[in-house]
Amino acid sequence: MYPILKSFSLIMLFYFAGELFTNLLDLPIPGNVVGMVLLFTALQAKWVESKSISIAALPLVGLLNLFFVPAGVGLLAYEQLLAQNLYVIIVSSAISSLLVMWVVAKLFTALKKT
Amino acid sequence: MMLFKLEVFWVSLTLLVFFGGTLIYNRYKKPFFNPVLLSVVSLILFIKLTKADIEDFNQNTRVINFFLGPAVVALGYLLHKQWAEIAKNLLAILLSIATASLVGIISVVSVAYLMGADAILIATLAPKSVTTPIAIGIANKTGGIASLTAAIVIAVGVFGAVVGSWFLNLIKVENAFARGLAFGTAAHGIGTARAIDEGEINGTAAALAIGLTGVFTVLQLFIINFLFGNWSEIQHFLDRFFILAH
Repeated sequence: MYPILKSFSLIMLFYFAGELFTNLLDLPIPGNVVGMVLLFTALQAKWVESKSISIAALPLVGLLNLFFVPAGVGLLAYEQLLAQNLYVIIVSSAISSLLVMWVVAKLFTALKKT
Repeated sequence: MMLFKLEVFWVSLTLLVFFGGTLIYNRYKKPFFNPVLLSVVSLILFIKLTKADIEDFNQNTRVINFFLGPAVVALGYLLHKQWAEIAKNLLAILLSIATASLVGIISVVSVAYLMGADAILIATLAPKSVTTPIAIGIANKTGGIASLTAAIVIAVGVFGAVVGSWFLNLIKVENAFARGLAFGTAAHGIGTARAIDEGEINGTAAALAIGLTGVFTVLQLFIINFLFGNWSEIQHFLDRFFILAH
Protein backbone atom coordinates (compact mmCIF):
# COMPACT_ATOMS: atom_id res chain seq x y z
CA MET A 1 0.00 0.00 0.00
CA TYR A 2 2.65 2.46 1.16
CA PRO A 3 4.91 2.35 -1.97
CA ILE A 4 1.97 3.02 -4.32
CA LEU A 5 0.79 5.92 -2.19
CA LYS A 6 4.27 7.40 -2.08
CA SER A 7 4.78 6.95 -5.81
CA PHE A 8 1.46 8.51 -6.81
CA SER A 9 1.88 11.38 -4.32
CA LEU A 10 5.31 12.20 -5.75
CA ILE A 11 3.96 12.25 -9.31
CA MET A 12 1.08 14.51 -8.23
CA LEU A 13 3.59 16.78 -6.49
CA PHE A 14 5.57 17.18 -9.73
CA TYR A 15 2.33 17.81 -11.62
CA PHE A 16 1.40 20.49 -9.09
CA ALA A 17 4.88 22.06 -9.33
CA GLY A 18 4.54 22.15 -13.13
CA GLU A 19 1.11 23.83 -12.95
CA LEU A 20 2.41 26.32 -10.41
CA PHE A 21 5.35 27.15 -12.68
CA THR A 22 3.32 27.82 -15.83
CA ASN A 23 0.61 29.70 -13.94
CA LEU A 24 2.99 31.98 -12.06
CA LEU A 25 5.03 32.78 -15.18
CA ASP A 26 1.91 32.84 -17.40
CA LEU A 27 3.53 30.56 -19.99
CA PRO A 28 1.61 29.00 -22.91
CA ILE A 29 3.15 25.59 -22.04
CA PRO A 30 0.95 23.07 -20.20
CA GLY A 31 1.74 22.33 -16.55
CA ASN A 32 1.79 18.58 -17.14
CA VAL A 33 4.55 18.90 -19.77
CA VAL A 34 6.58 21.07 -17.35
CA GLY A 35 5.87 18.47 -14.64
CA MET A 36 7.26 15.78 -16.98
CA VAL A 37 10.49 17.77 -17.41
CA LEU A 38 10.72 18.40 -13.64
CA LEU A 39 10.22 14.71 -12.83
CA PHE A 40 12.82 13.77 -15.43
CA THR A 41 15.30 16.29 -13.97
CA ALA A 42 14.72 15.06 -10.41
CA LEU A 43 15.27 11.44 -11.50
CA GLN A 44 18.44 12.29 -13.43
CA ALA A 45 19.82 14.26 -10.45
CA LYS A 46 18.86 11.32 -8.18
CA TRP A 47 16.78 13.60 -5.94
CA VAL A 48 14.13 10.89 -6.11
CA GLU A 49 14.65 7.17 -6.51
CA SER A 50 13.62 5.74 -9.86
CA LYS A 51 12.05 2.74 -8.09
CA SER A 52 9.78 4.91 -5.98
CA ILE A 53 8.34 6.53 -9.13
CA SER A 54 7.90 3.49 -11.39
CA ILE A 55 5.20 1.77 -9.29
CA ALA A 56 2.60 4.41 -10.15
CA ALA A 57 4.24 5.78 -13.31
CA LEU A 58 3.99 2.56 -15.35
CA PRO A 59 0.24 1.96 -14.83
CA LEU A 60 -0.47 5.66 -15.53
CA VAL A 61 1.52 5.59 -18.76
CA GLY A 62 -0.12 2.28 -19.73
CA LEU A 63 -3.58 3.85 -19.43
CA LEU A 64 -2.71 7.02 -21.36
CA ASN A 65 -5.12 5.99 -24.14
CA LEU A 66 -8.05 5.80 -21.72
CA PHE A 67 -7.45 9.31 -20.40
CA PHE A 68 -7.90 10.76 -23.91
CA VAL A 69 -11.32 9.21 -24.47
CA PRO A 70 -13.38 12.02 -22.82
CA ALA A 71 -11.59 14.66 -24.95
CA GLY A 72 -12.30 12.60 -28.08
CA VAL A 73 -16.00 12.24 -27.32
CA GLY A 74 -16.02 15.96 -26.50
CA LEU A 75 -15.51 16.57 -30.24
CA LEU A 76 -19.27 16.11 -30.48
CA ALA A 77 -19.76 19.52 -28.86
CA TYR A 78 -17.93 21.12 -31.83
CA GLU A 79 -19.87 19.15 -34.44
CA GLN A 80 -21.23 22.25 -36.20
CA LEU A 81 -17.99 24.25 -36.06
CA LEU A 82 -16.13 21.29 -37.55
CA ALA A 83 -18.81 20.60 -40.17
CA GLN A 84 -18.67 24.16 -41.56
CA ASN A 85 -15.11 23.71 -42.80
CA LEU A 86 -14.92 19.93 -42.86
CA TYR A 87 -13.05 19.40 -46.16
CA VAL A 88 -10.40 22.05 -45.57
CA ILE A 89 -9.77 20.75 -42.05
CA ILE A 90 -9.59 17.07 -43.03
CA VAL A 91 -7.48 17.49 -46.19
CA SER A 92 -4.99 20.03 -44.82
CA SER A 93 -4.55 18.24 -41.46
CA ALA A 94 -4.19 14.78 -42.99
CA ILE A 95 -1.65 15.83 -45.64
CA SER A 96 0.32 17.87 -43.10
CA SER A 97 0.31 15.09 -40.45
CA LEU A 98 1.67 12.49 -42.88
CA LEU A 99 4.28 14.96 -44.13
CA VAL A 100 5.41 15.66 -40.53
CA MET A 101 5.75 11.92 -39.84
CA TRP A 102 7.70 11.39 -43.04
CA VAL A 103 10.10 14.32 -42.44
CA VAL A 104 10.87 13.60 -38.78
CA ALA A 105 11.28 9.84 -39.23
CA LYS A 106 13.45 10.05 -42.36
CA LEU A 107 15.55 12.98 -41.13
CA PHE A 108 16.23 11.30 -37.79
CA THR A 109 17.14 8.03 -39.50
CA ALA A 110 19.61 9.91 -41.73
CA LEU A 111 21.18 11.93 -38.89
CA LYS A 112 21.33 9.38 -36.07
CA LYS A 113 24.53 7.67 -35.01
CA THR A 114 24.47 3.93 -35.44
CA MET B 1 -32.96 10.85 -18.07
CA MET B 2 -31.84 10.71 -14.44
CA LEU B 3 -29.08 8.21 -15.22
CA PHE B 4 -27.36 10.75 -17.47
CA LYS B 5 -26.79 13.08 -14.51
CA LEU B 6 -24.80 10.43 -12.62
CA GLU B 7 -21.03 10.57 -12.66
CA VAL B 8 -20.75 6.86 -11.87
CA PHE B 9 -22.86 6.04 -14.95
CA TRP B 10 -20.65 7.87 -17.47
CA VAL B 11 -17.38 6.86 -15.83
CA SER B 12 -18.33 3.16 -15.73
CA LEU B 13 -19.68 3.28 -19.27
CA THR B 14 -16.47 4.91 -20.53
CA LEU B 15 -14.32 2.34 -18.71
CA LEU B 16 -16.39 -0.59 -19.98
CA VAL B 17 -16.38 0.69 -23.55
CA PHE B 18 -12.63 1.29 -23.39
CA PHE B 19 -12.08 -2.17 -21.91
CA GLY B 20 -14.11 -3.68 -24.75
CA GLY B 21 -12.17 -1.60 -27.28
CA THR B 22 -8.88 -2.82 -25.81
CA LEU B 23 -10.03 -6.47 -26.01
CA ILE B 24 -10.98 -6.03 -29.67
CA TYR B 25 -7.69 -4.28 -30.39
CA ASN B 26 -5.64 -7.03 -28.69
CA ARG B 27 -7.61 -9.73 -30.51
CA TYR B 28 -7.08 -8.32 -34.02
CA LYS B 29 -4.01 -6.06 -33.59
CA LYS B 30 -5.13 -3.82 -36.43
CA PRO B 31 -4.33 -0.09 -36.05
CA PHE B 32 -7.82 0.71 -37.31
CA PHE B 33 -9.18 -0.94 -34.14
CA ASN B 34 -7.31 1.64 -32.06
CA PRO B 35 -8.95 1.56 -28.60
CA VAL B 36 -9.30 5.37 -28.48
CA LEU B 37 -11.02 5.44 -31.87
CA LEU B 38 -13.32 2.50 -31.03
CA SER B 39 -14.28 4.01 -27.67
CA VAL B 40 -14.83 7.52 -29.02
CA VAL B 41 -16.98 6.29 -31.92
CA SER B 42 -19.04 3.95 -29.69
CA LEU B 43 -19.63 6.61 -27.05
CA ILE B 44 -20.57 9.24 -29.65
CA LEU B 45 -23.03 6.77 -31.19
CA PHE B 46 -24.45 6.01 -27.74
CA ILE B 47 -24.91 9.72 -26.97
CA LYS B 48 -26.53 10.32 -30.36
CA LEU B 49 -28.89 7.34 -30.13
CA THR B 50 -30.01 8.03 -26.56
CA LYS B 51 -30.20 11.78 -27.27
CA ALA B 52 -28.08 12.38 -24.18
CA ASP B 53 -26.60 15.84 -23.69
CA ILE B 54 -22.89 16.02 -24.54
CA GLU B 55 -22.51 18.47 -21.65
CA ASP B 56 -23.66 15.74 -19.23
CA PHE B 57 -20.95 13.49 -20.61
CA ASN B 58 -18.27 16.21 -20.41
CA GLN B 59 -19.21 17.23 -16.85
CA ASN B 60 -19.29 13.66 -15.55
CA THR B 61 -16.11 12.26 -17.10
CA ARG B 62 -13.83 14.99 -15.76
CA VAL B 63 -12.30 12.52 -13.31
CA ILE B 64 -10.95 10.44 -16.24
CA ASN B 65 -9.75 13.56 -18.02
CA PHE B 66 -7.95 14.68 -14.87
CA PHE B 67 -5.64 11.66 -14.93
CA LEU B 68 -4.20 12.91 -18.21
CA GLY B 69 -2.16 15.32 -16.03
CA PRO B 70 -0.29 12.79 -13.86
CA ALA B 71 -0.02 10.38 -16.82
CA VAL B 72 1.86 12.96 -18.91
CA VAL B 73 4.07 13.78 -15.90
CA ALA B 74 4.78 10.04 -15.55
CA LEU B 75 6.23 10.06 -19.08
CA GLY B 76 9.21 11.81 -17.45
CA TYR B 77 10.06 8.41 -15.97
CA LEU B 78 10.38 6.92 -19.49
CA LEU B 79 12.67 9.79 -20.50
CA HIS B 80 14.86 9.05 -17.49
CA LYS B 81 14.95 5.31 -18.15
CA GLN B 82 15.91 5.77 -21.81
CA TRP B 83 18.20 8.76 -21.31
CA ALA B 84 21.26 6.96 -22.75
CA GLU B 85 19.35 6.39 -25.99
CA ILE B 86 18.26 10.05 -26.11
CA ALA B 87 21.64 11.58 -25.23
CA LYS B 88 23.38 9.60 -27.96
CA ASN B 89 21.33 11.34 -30.65
CA LEU B 90 20.25 14.58 -29.03
CA LEU B 91 21.31 16.83 -31.91
CA ALA B 92 19.63 14.59 -34.49
CA ILE B 93 16.44 14.63 -32.39
CA LEU B 94 16.39 18.43 -32.04
CA LEU B 95 17.14 19.02 -35.75
CA SER B 96 14.58 16.56 -37.05
CA ILE B 97 11.78 17.76 -34.74
CA ALA B 98 12.51 21.45 -35.46
CA THR B 99 12.42 20.80 -39.21
CA ALA B 100 9.30 18.63 -39.05
CA SER B 101 7.34 21.09 -36.93
CA LEU B 102 8.14 23.90 -39.41
CA VAL B 103 7.10 21.61 -42.28
CA GLY B 104 3.90 20.90 -40.33
CA ILE B 105 3.03 24.60 -40.01
CA ILE B 106 3.89 25.50 -43.62
CA SER B 107 2.08 22.49 -45.11
CA VAL B 108 -1.17 22.85 -43.18
CA VAL B 109 -1.26 26.60 -43.82
CA SER B 110 -0.49 26.24 -47.56
CA VAL B 111 -3.02 23.48 -48.21
CA ALA B 112 -5.71 25.35 -46.26
CA TYR B 113 -4.90 28.58 -48.14
CA LEU B 114 -5.06 26.84 -51.52
CA MET B 115 -8.43 25.37 -50.54
CA GLY B 116 -9.71 28.88 -49.89
CA ALA B 117 -9.53 29.07 -46.07
CA ASP B 118 -9.74 32.55 -44.54
CA ALA B 119 -7.21 34.02 -42.09
CA ILE B 120 -9.21 32.89 -39.05
CA LEU B 121 -9.33 29.26 -40.19
CA ILE B 122 -5.61 29.36 -41.07
CA ALA B 123 -4.75 30.66 -37.59
CA THR B 124 -6.99 27.95 -36.12
CA LEU B 125 -5.26 25.17 -38.08
CA ALA B 126 -1.62 26.29 -37.78
CA PRO B 127 -0.91 24.74 -34.32
CA LYS B 128 -2.73 21.45 -35.10
CA SER B 129 0.20 19.10 -34.30
CA VAL B 130 0.92 20.22 -30.74
CA THR B 131 -0.60 19.17 -27.43
CA THR B 132 -3.98 20.80 -26.68
CA PRO B 133 -3.06 23.43 -24.04
CA ILE B 134 -0.18 24.78 -26.17
CA ALA B 135 -2.35 24.77 -29.31
CA ILE B 136 -5.09 26.72 -27.51
CA GLY B 137 -2.54 29.26 -26.25
CA ILE B 138 -1.18 29.75 -29.79
CA ALA B 139 -4.63 30.02 -31.41
CA ASN B 140 -5.67 32.65 -28.87
CA LYS B 141 -2.61 34.78 -29.58
CA THR B 142 -2.71 34.48 -33.41
CA GLY B 143 -6.41 35.14 -34.02
CA GLY B 144 -7.73 31.59 -34.37
CA ILE B 145 -10.82 30.00 -32.79
CA ALA B 146 -9.35 28.25 -29.74
CA SER B 147 -12.20 25.77 -29.17
CA LEU B 148 -12.08 24.68 -32.82
CA THR B 149 -8.29 24.32 -32.55
CA ALA B 150 -8.80 22.04 -29.53
CA ALA B 151 -11.23 19.86 -31.47
CA ILE B 152 -8.89 19.67 -34.50
CA VAL B 153 -5.94 18.76 -32.29
CA ILE B 154 -7.84 15.79 -30.84
CA ALA B 155 -8.93 14.67 -34.32
CA VAL B 156 -5.35 14.99 -35.61
CA GLY B 157 -4.13 12.88 -32.66
CA VAL B 158 -6.64 10.11 -33.36
CA PHE B 159 -5.79 10.23 -37.08
CA GLY B 160 -2.04 9.97 -36.38
CA ALA B 161 -2.55 7.10 -33.93
CA VAL B 162 -4.77 5.18 -36.34
CA VAL B 163 -2.83 5.56 -39.61
CA GLY B 164 0.66 6.08 -38.11
CA SER B 165 1.83 2.46 -37.89
CA TRP B 166 0.53 1.67 -41.35
CA PHE B 167 2.09 4.82 -42.86
CA LEU B 168 5.48 4.27 -41.18
CA ASN B 169 5.51 0.68 -42.49
CA LEU B 170 4.63 1.98 -45.95
CA ILE B 171 7.54 4.45 -46.00
CA LYS B 172 9.76 1.74 -44.47
CA VAL B 173 10.73 3.32 -41.16
CA GLU B 174 11.99 0.49 -38.98
CA ASN B 175 14.00 2.28 -36.29
CA ALA B 176 11.94 2.31 -33.07
CA PHE B 177 13.13 5.75 -32.01
CA ALA B 178 12.33 7.28 -35.41
CA ARG B 179 8.82 5.75 -35.32
CA GLY B 180 8.22 7.17 -31.85
CA LEU B 181 9.37 10.64 -32.90
CA ALA B 182 6.92 10.53 -35.81
CA PHE B 183 4.01 9.69 -33.49
CA GLY B 184 4.89 12.37 -30.92
CA THR B 185 5.66 15.12 -33.43
CA ALA B 186 2.59 14.60 -35.64
CA ALA B 187 0.05 13.37 -33.08
CA HIS B 188 1.12 14.56 -29.57
CA GLY B 189 -0.26 12.55 -26.62
CA ILE B 190 -2.71 10.32 -28.49
CA GLY B 191 0.07 9.37 -30.90
CA THR B 192 2.32 8.76 -27.89
CA ALA B 193 -0.18 6.31 -26.41
CA ARG B 194 -0.05 4.39 -29.71
CA ALA B 195 3.77 4.56 -29.73
CA ILE B 196 3.84 3.07 -26.22
CA ASP B 197 1.82 0.15 -27.62
CA GLU B 198 4.54 -0.33 -30.25
CA GLY B 199 7.30 -0.47 -27.62
CA GLU B 200 9.08 1.32 -24.80
CA ILE B 201 11.69 3.09 -26.97
CA ASN B 202 8.94 4.23 -29.37
CA GLY B 203 6.96 5.59 -26.42
CA THR B 204 9.96 7.42 -24.97
CA ALA B 205 10.78 9.09 -28.28
CA ALA B 206 7.14 10.17 -28.66
CA ALA B 207 6.99 11.57 -25.12
CA LEU B 208 10.11 13.60 -25.80
CA ALA B 209 8.66 14.85 -29.08
CA ILE B 210 5.43 16.18 -27.48
CA GLY B 211 7.32 18.78 -25.44
CA LEU B 212 9.87 19.66 -28.12
CA THR B 213 7.27 20.02 -30.88
CA GLY B 214 5.28 22.31 -28.62
CA VAL B 215 8.25 24.55 -27.89
CA PHE B 216 9.47 24.65 -31.52
CA THR B 217 5.98 25.38 -32.87
CA VAL B 218 5.50 28.29 -30.44
CA LEU B 219 8.86 29.76 -31.45
CA GLN B 220 8.36 29.21 -35.19
CA LEU B 221 4.85 30.66 -35.30
CA PHE B 222 6.05 33.64 -33.30
CA ILE B 223 8.93 34.19 -35.77
CA ILE B 224 6.65 33.74 -38.81
CA ASN B 225 4.18 36.32 -37.46
CA PHE B 226 7.01 38.66 -36.48
CA LEU B 227 8.63 38.51 -39.95
CA PHE B 228 5.56 38.37 -42.18
CA GLY B 229 2.78 39.94 -40.10
CA ASN B 230 -0.37 38.24 -38.85
CA TRP B 231 -2.30 35.63 -40.84
CA SER B 232 -4.61 38.10 -42.58
CA GLU B 233 -1.64 40.18 -43.74
CA ILE B 234 0.05 37.02 -45.04
CA GLN B 235 -3.18 36.02 -46.77
CA HIS B 236 -3.47 39.42 -48.50
CA PHE B 237 0.14 39.20 -49.60
CA LEU B 238 -0.39 35.72 -51.09
CA ASP B 239 -3.61 36.84 -52.78
CA ARG B 240 -1.77 39.69 -54.50
CA PHE B 241 1.13 37.40 -55.39
CA PHE B 242 -1.16 34.91 -57.10
CA ILE B 243 -3.02 37.66 -58.97
CA LEU B 244 0.30 39.05 -60.25
CA ALA B 245 1.49 35.59 -61.23
CA HIS B 246 -1.53 35.04 -63.43
